[in-house]
Amino acid sequence: MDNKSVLSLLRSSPAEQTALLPKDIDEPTEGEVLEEDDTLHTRARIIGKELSTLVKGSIPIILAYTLQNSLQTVSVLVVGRQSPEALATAAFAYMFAMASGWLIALGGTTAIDTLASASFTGSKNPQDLGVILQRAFVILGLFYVPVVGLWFASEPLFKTLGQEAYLARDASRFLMVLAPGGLGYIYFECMKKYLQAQGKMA
Amino acid sequence: MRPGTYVLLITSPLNGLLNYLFVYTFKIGLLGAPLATGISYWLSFILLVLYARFVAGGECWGGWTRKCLSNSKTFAQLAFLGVLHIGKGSLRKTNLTGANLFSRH
Repeated sequence: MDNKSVLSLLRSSPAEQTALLPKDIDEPTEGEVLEEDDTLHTRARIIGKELSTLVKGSIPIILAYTLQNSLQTVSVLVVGRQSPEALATAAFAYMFAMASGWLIALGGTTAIDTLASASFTGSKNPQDLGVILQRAFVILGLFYVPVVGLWFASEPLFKTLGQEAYLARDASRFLMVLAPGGLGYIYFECMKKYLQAQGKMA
Repeated sequence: MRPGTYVLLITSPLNGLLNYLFVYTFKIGLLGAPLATGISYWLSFILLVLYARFVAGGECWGGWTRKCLSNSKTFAQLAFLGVLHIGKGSLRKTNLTGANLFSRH
């Protein structure tokens, strides 16, 4: 389809069946055609640029999450040197913590993302962000209460699920000791989101 | 890099040291591990608060107000959906499903 027919299509009055976009409009016109070598060269440059942007952007994020998960990974490795039973208990307890308490830290704090970016850009009062952070401390703290309740009552639960007696007992005690620290993890995530919302990346 | 990463660069090695000290040197045993890791989490939080207070990010903090108790329903709904969303993803990712919970070690 050449320019003439596109123009005539645009001039003709549209009906219900008229296509919103004329067909074949993205065919290159004469001016845009590039030489074969030129295209290859350009493509390689674009791919290289894209690749370096992706690598540069992802390395800090990979580092951040590796470090964050390293806290419990290192803990399992250190205590696991004691005995195979200790290794099994620690790994099991951290796994259970991740599937319950840590979900509040990682999932619940996404509410800050949603509300904070809107308030930081849309509101005249920057301290509204501080109020959102306080609200996160209060509400996510309340979210954590039933999780801690579950952790304290986890021994019979683990036994019902078919775990051995020693593991059910030790993993439950492990979680009871971990419970206060879990709140610190949730609040750490809240602070991270609070700083991120202000663009404090540097 | 983000301030959270700087903080973790300090607390992550410290966490390894604390774990070792609590489990072996102070002979607390197995329960020394969650104690040490819990302290590391709180330390990370405190360092991030200090960053916001003394480096950058303090201007959005206006002190504690009663306003934080209002409008909590919207926040709670968003947070709950966030928990479900991340939960769905990490269950798939880490194979935490039945396989781990039900298997005997």
